[in-house]
Amino acid sequence: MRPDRWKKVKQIFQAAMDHAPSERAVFVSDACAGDEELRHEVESLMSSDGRAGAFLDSPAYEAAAAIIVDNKSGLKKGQTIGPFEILSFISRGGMGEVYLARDPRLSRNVALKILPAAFTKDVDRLRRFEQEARAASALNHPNIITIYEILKADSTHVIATEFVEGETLRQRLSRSTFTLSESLQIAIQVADALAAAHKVGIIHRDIKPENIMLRPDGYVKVLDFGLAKLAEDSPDVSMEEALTKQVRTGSGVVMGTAGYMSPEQARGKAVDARTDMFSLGAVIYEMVTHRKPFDGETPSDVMAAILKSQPQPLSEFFSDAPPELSRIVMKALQKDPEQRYQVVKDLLIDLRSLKQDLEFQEKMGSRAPAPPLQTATASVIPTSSTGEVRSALSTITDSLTIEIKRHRIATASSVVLLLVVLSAGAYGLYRYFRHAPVYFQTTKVTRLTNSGKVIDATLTPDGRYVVYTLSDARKQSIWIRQVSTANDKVIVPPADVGVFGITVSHDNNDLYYVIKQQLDKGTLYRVPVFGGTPMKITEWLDGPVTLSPDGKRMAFVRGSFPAEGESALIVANLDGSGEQVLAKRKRPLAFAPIFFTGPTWSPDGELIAAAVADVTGPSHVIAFRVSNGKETDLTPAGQPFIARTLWLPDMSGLLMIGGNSAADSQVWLAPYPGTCARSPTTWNNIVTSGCQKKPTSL
Amino acid sequence: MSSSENVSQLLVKWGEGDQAALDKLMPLVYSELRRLATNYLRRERQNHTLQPTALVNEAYLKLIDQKSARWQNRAHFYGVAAQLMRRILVDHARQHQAAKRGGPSQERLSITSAGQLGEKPDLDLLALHEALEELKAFDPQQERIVELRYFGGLSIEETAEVMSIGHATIERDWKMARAWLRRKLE
Repeated sequence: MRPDRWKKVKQIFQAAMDHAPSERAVFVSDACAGDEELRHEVESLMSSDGRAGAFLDSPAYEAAAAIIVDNKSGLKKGQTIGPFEILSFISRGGMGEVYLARDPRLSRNVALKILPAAFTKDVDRLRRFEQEARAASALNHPNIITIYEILKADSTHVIATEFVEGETLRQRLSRSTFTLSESLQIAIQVADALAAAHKVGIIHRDIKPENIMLRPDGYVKVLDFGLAKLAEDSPDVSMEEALTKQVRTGSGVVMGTAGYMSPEQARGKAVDARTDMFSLGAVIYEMVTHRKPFDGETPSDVMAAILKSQPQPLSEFFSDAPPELSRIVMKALQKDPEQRYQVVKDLLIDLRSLKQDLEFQEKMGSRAPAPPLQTATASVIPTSSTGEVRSALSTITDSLTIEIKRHRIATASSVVLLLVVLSAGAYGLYRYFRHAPVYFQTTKVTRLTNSGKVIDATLTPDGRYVVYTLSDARKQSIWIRQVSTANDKVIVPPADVGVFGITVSHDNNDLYYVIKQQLDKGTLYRVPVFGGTPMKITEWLDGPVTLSPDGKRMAFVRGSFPAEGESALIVANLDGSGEQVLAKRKRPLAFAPIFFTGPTWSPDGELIAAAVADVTGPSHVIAFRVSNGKETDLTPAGQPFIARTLWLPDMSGLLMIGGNSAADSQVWLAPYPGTCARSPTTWNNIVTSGCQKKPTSL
Repeated sequence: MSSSENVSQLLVKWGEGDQAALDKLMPLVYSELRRLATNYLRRERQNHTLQPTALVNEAYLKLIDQKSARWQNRAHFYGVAAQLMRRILVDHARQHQAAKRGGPSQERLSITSAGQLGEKPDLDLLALHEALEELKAFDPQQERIVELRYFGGLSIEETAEVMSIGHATIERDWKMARAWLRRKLE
């Protein structure tokens, strides 16, 4: 088009645009004054302008930026940097480019990482990074990559490390799947590396598949210790930036994800070693399921998922996932660091035990426990859907009920099973009532013993061990079993005594137990959970003790006290001194333990719940205020039979085992302070007590 | 001579019509943009979108000694950045086309997948580039506006500032250039 012609078109087009759309045609027709070609030109531009759809609306800027980034940078084959000669480009990540290089001085190949300039501006930070990276390397750990040199060549900072032949876990994940055993082997090695580093105070902060190298011989090497911290500290590069995304080469720029960042990292809070725990949990999850536990379309979505959502259960994607593995991974992935494993060492122990366990089962030719062990699987609860919670819990109790009916004679052992489930269920119910998503995973109810000789059991507060009482050939003994390994160890050897009540201290270290040689005159002992010399503490107890949340006091029931025909609920110091009677009952009422029932100290320390039996009618669970003895009946309707009670952690109620008799008992929920607001219905078998005139039977 | 002085002077020279200055400027601006873009792309941004002019602004602040900077520097700098972006994209598209001709086994790169352009995937960048060259022949102002807006990511206001032309004119020219280009390309 000739410029003068264009000028005319422009004039009319732009003037027409100043008119209302309805007037434009007339205006253009007039303005063109018979010049049909001109009119056609203007009208066609107007029609083009009016067309729907985006055109040049979003600048190509971003694409250009992406291409700029994607262009492979500087170093070419044969180029030297310091003493090193570049052989080839290996990769580029958020933390810099990596080249394969040759160190002619030692005739060895090294991996050369070029640190982005943004990371190396602050000399102090760089020095701290160097110290940390060297310290990790100096551990000489087989799973931590060895750093040969950190040097400055020209103005570039480079790290020369051991060159690991093999592929990153990311590459491997994109290529194939892992067997469970392979996943565990990798996880164990990474955990081992982290445990060693954490021990000397080094946190990795960026555990992800890209930073885990797999050697063909099965060795795993963890890369880039301390580097995330350097990036985090760099003024130009936020932590988020360094961790959220990594720019990958290949077809275009692919945004990496924040999928392995711990919630505290995502929030930009201070992190400690437990952040690595979370990231490792995410990596294990991905190895097992081939999915990221937290995913989303954009990094913001991923971040939101990390902060807010619960990962899908492992079993959703991997039906054979051992429940223990789910437990381990979900524990590592807890949003609250306090809820995770506190040290990687513990995670490592559990992973190793699980691996041994699986290998053992494999040798035995079966992954599932061999008959006659019975296993009941409860339904999966992926969300906070209350219906599913109920069904899962009722499935647990269904299976328990079956157990009870099947083993009428061995009623005691059924109650034992209920006790353990009760302890395990309390946390889930607690979460449920807090309206937090409940994570039961595949709640597997598994018989732990098959002898029929277990008469009492309790979980240690950390959930890792079951302490149980065995009655065999008129002799009773106390044992401890590691849940994950099914390893048994005797704490109190068999003796011709009655063990009435076992209580583990809140710090998981001590076991308090009551030995009775005559009715209602028990003696309280304390022994280290893993065995030792029992210490006698006090006498004349009629059942197990309960410990105050601060671990300083205990409470118990004493029969025939203060006078014959009376019984009392007593609070005392842990060494047995300073006894105080909190409450007493006179026949026909009595604090009478049935099946090792003892009082239960509430989590806030203010109340003690105790079962009061009535020989003329149903029993009740009463909450006594520690400060003044004030009473609240938690079960106004009463129960013919009440066994163990357990407070929910948030004090919203009390779980208890109750029913018509020991052989016909269920898990009940007694709301506290006694309102029914949060438990309007009868759960299939978990029944809300205190709300109905009569408890619903099975 | 520090690099910022260098860039300032080159910008002035280019503003005075020294085309060789532009060739010297490009690599300097490029390396700074590359560094910034790397950071940006790694950074969490709403909807993944780069703040259109943030990159250039930042690069400008980094490269130009602000004490001795003249306002023209800024305009020129934006101009350089937009040209640079255009050049990068066009080169990239040419390589892509060459790769396609090389056969199906060649790596296929598409602008949209690379940068989430938000455009129809079939926007032919080379055709756009050629159409712009044509437009430049009879309306260099409109061509410049498109370059700054589309390749430089400038807003109407920023373009007006850089070109020292009123908003309304920029807006009208942009509208028309877009209509013309669209008709040309579709």
